[in-house]
Parts: sequence; C-alpha cells; structure tokens
Amino acid sequence: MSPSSVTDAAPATQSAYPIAAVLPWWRLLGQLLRVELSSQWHRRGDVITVLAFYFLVLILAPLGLGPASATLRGVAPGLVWIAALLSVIMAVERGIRPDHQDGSLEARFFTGASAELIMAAKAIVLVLTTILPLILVSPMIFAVLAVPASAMVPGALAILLGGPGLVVIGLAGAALTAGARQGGALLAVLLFPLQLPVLIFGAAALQRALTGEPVVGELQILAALTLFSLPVGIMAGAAALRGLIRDDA
Amino acid sequence: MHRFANPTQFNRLTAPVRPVLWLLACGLIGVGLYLSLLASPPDYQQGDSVRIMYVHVPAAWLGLFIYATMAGAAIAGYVWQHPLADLYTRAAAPVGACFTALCLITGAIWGQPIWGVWWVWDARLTSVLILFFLYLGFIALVDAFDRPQRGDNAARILVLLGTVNLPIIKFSVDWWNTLHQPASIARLDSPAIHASMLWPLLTMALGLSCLAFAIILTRLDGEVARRRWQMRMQRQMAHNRAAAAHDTPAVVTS
Repeated sequence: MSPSSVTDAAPATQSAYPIAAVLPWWRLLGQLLRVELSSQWHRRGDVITVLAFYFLVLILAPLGLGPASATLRGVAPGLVWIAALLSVIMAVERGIRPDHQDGSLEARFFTGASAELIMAAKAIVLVLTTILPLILVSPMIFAVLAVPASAMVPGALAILLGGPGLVVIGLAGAALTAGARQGGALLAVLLFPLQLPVLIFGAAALQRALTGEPVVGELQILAALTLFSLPVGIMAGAAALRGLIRDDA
Repeated sequence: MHRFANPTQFNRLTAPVRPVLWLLACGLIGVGLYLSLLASPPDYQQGDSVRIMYVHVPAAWLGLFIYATMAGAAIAGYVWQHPLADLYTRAAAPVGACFTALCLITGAIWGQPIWGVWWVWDARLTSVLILFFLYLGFIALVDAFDRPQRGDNAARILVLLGTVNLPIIKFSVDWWNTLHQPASIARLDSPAIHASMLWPLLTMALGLSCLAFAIILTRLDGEVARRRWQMRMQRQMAHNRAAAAHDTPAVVTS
C-alpha cells in the first residue's frame, strides 16, 4: 500500500461520527426538522399555552381600556405586536432550554450537524409552531379589537413578514441564556431592545392599514429586518449553542 | 496586542497611567466647568439652559464610544481568546450605562424648558434608551451564570448583536427628521457651533473621557485582582481536597 493511497482513503469530513460523512447537509436538515417537529409535538401543550397567552394579553385590552370600538381600534396595532413579541419570547425560551437540560441538544451535535444547521432547524420549526398560529388566529383577534376587515390582510402579512425575524433573534437570545440561572425575565431584558425595530414597523404597518393608507413601505422594511435577522440571529445563536455545549463538556 | 495579554504586564503598563488619568480628569473637568458655566456666553435662543449641553453631549459620545470599545473587546475575546478582553467589557459596561443614563437625564432636564416636555418618543431618544437597556442586559447576562467564563462567552455575543444599534443612534437624526437636532460638531464641513461654545464643550468632552477611562482602568485592575483571588482560592481548595484525600486513605475504602 503506497502512502498516497492512504491519504486518498482518509474521510472527507473530520468528524468522529461516520454519519456526517454519509449525509449531505440538506438531509441532515431534514432529519433535524423531523426531530424538532416531533419534540414540538411531544410538547404541544407549550404551543397551546403560548397561543392562550397571546389571546389573554389581547383580551386584557377591552377589559382594561374599556370596550369602546374607537379606543380598541386606536391601540390595536401596538397591542397586537406587543402580544406577539411577548408570545415569541415565551416560545423561544421553550425552544432551547428544555433541550439543553435533557441533553437532546448535545445529542443533535452527534449527528455531525453544524450549530448553524441546528439553529436553522429550530428557527423553521418555531416559526411554524408560533408565527403560523398567530396568523391563523389573527382574524379573530382583529374582530375582537374592532379592526375593520380591510386591514386584516395587511395586518396578517406584517406578522408573516416580521414574525420570523422575531423568532430568529429570540432564539439567539434563548441560546445565550439557556445555561443561565434565571430565565424568563433575563431573556426579556435582552430581547426587547433587539426586537424593538420589528415592533415599531409592524405596528406602523397595521396603523396605516387601519387608516387605509398603502402599507407596502412598512412591509418592505419588515421583510428587510427579517432578512437581516436571519443570518445574524442564526450565526449568533450558533455561537451561543457551541459555547453552551463546550462549557458542559 | 498580545503583549498586553499578560495581566501582570498590563498592570505594570497601566499602573502609572491611572493616576495621570485621574488628575487629568479632575483638572480638565474643573477647567471645563468654569468655561462652560461661567466663561461661555448664553445661547441667544436657549439662554443659560444651553449650558447643560456641555455635559449632555460628552455623555452621549461616551455612552456610544464605550459601547464601541466593548464591541472591539468582544471581538478580541472571541477571535483571539484574549484574557483581558472579557474583563474589560465587564469593567466598562457599568461606566457606559452611567454615561448613557446621564445623557438621558440631562437631556430630559434640558428638554423640559426648551421643548416643553421631559420626554418625547423621538428616534434619537428612543435609540439611546435602547442603548441603555443593552447595557443593562449585558450587566444582567454576564453575572447570570455559575461560572464567570460562561457569562463572558454569552455576553460577548450579546455585545456584538447590540452593535446594530450604534449606527441607528448616530444616523437617527438624519434618517428620521424628528425633534432632536442633527449633529453640529462631527460634520464634514466646519462645526455649526461658535468657537466660544466649542472650546468648553471639547474641554468637557476630554475631561469626561479621562474620567471614564480612569474609572474603567481602576475597575479593570479590580477585576484582575478579583480573578486572581478566585484562582488562588480554587487552587487552595483543590490543594486542601487533595491533602484530605491523602490523609484518609485505604482505611475508609478497604
């Protein structure tokens, strides 16, 4: 056996786990998505809790501010987005901390997947289980808050475009705090400043939709914020995940 | 840069700088206060309330600048695992938070007589408030872990995420034409401020910068000493454990 054939036989990927050499990244992503979906299914109570929380925050408005339609319509844009922001913070905390505590987060690394891929899979699944339900219930929410039907489509579009940005940045924050002693309040303090732009432009979109003005500009800014958040959030979250795993070892 | 990575060497380098910075801070702030409160003219529109600008503007600059240096240190810590970088961000964060708070408070005191309100949700004010909360988030996160190293790792990433806010603060007065006035010093053409006001402002800015970095370097010295003490305690405990294990051998186990 010549030396050159030995180097030729060396595996292409430097991984202790042979599966990494076998699976290309898209198949790994598929596997990770399946794992995330099934773990979300096992914790489906959490999804319902988050949705119920969203509803309850919004129901506090007519009870606290009075049921007059004009008042409700005035506060609806900000309120919808504040409730969405709080729900996302609740949801992302459940996206990482339990997996870290039961060790399944570390197990995901054994597949040879990069931290970025793991974060991306988590982000995709959390958008499906958090933002999608928010959009699905938005007709009811808008009806409760006396928002006219003409504003419903732009309002839902704003959540669809801005929501994934909230989730991705939120996941990065959740990965940063997953190993910390206290969770929720700390996560909220970290995330509010970073998620504020989405809140501002999301509420502005709905505000303009209410008065019948075109919302294309706001929707474009929301899409831009999300497109910017995707790589930044996933890379920051991946760095945090790696720190989390390394520190446990 | 790695020459300063050794805390002892860093300390030897900064130990003579610290008293100089403190003295400069005292002197420059003294002169600056005289110039700004007594020797400079009142504004033709704002009267004497313009004088709060001599504290407000340097505080705002320092709030931003200290965050930028923290971001630089976070990069150095992340890329080169520079041991002092994380200690620097820990030392600098409360100082930056204080200057940002000072900026917000003096702004509110100035805004009351001039704008007629303590606070408006103007783009500049809001983005500086966000900067303040970024500092608070950093301070909360860095101490939220059982092991300081973990806090450092997490806080670095947070600092870098927060840098997105810096250009937003800087350009908020240009992008959104709101209540806060645009920049009048750092402009490509000559500053839009008269020399009789520019000099007190620059003196105050320099003095407050010296004060900020005198505090940061003193705090950094304290952080280094604290880390060193913790290491020594850990070594002592490990030594005690080893000694205890050695003193009570086979009798217990067999």
